[in-house]
Amino acid sequence: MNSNWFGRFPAMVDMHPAFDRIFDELFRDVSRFSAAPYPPMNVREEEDSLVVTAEVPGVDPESLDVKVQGDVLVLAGTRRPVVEDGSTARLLRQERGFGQFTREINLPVKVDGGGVEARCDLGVLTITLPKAPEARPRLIKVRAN
Amino acid sequence: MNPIEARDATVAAFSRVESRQTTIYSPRTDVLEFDDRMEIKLDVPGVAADAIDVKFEENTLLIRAIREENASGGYLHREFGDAQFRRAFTLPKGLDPTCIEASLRNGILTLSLPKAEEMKPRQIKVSGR
Repeated sequence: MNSNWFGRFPAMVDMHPAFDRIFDELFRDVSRFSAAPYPPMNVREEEDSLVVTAEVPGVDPESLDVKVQGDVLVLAGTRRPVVEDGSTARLLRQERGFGQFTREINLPVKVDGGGVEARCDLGVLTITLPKAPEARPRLIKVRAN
Repeated sequence: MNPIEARDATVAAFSRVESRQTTIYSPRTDVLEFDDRMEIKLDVPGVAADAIDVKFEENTLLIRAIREENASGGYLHREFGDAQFRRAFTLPKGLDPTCIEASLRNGILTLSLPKAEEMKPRQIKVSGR
């Protein structure tokens, strides 16, 4: 699919843009949203919190929705198409997917849902979830006789 | 009663998992054509601008970006990590390689390649009576 985009430059004849578009859409759905969960995520544990990161390049941070429901973290968002309606740009190669996504992950420890913080930097979302008091490590004092 | 055993082997196994492994990725890329330029857009999440190297040589555009995670460890689940993003494109004639611009936004690297003057579309006036 459009593997030789140079072949279409300079564009003298472009017979099947609509067909290409349909093909791209099929390709996108299969490759992007079925093969592996999207977006890719990491979960790290620190002493007082869990830190979840997600690769969300090109996703407007405003479109991201982070929710904690019990011990499930729900991340939803929208990645806009690279060529918006009304643009004069022609898409010669398309590998990046777009559309809506939702991913849920089970949290391994209880967290304090009210204290969750999220920020987006360089296309990576970082969600910090403070552990619930009962899930934090406790220091046990050793008394000597 | 069983003795308490030192689990050094287990710790070592964990250390291996935690040690730095760089994966080489071919970043997903869109290519767009405008009247006056082409744009190459690559997904490079987590890469800082100063870790991106764009080179043009022998008619080939080489893009390399390196991502190093700051986190020291403690991973419970891991789907991405240290990475090298690499991609190369052969440029068609009619683009001006001396004027390539690169910008980074929201984890997307955009390379803008202006068309040479003679390749830009031109409106031809029709004269008649």
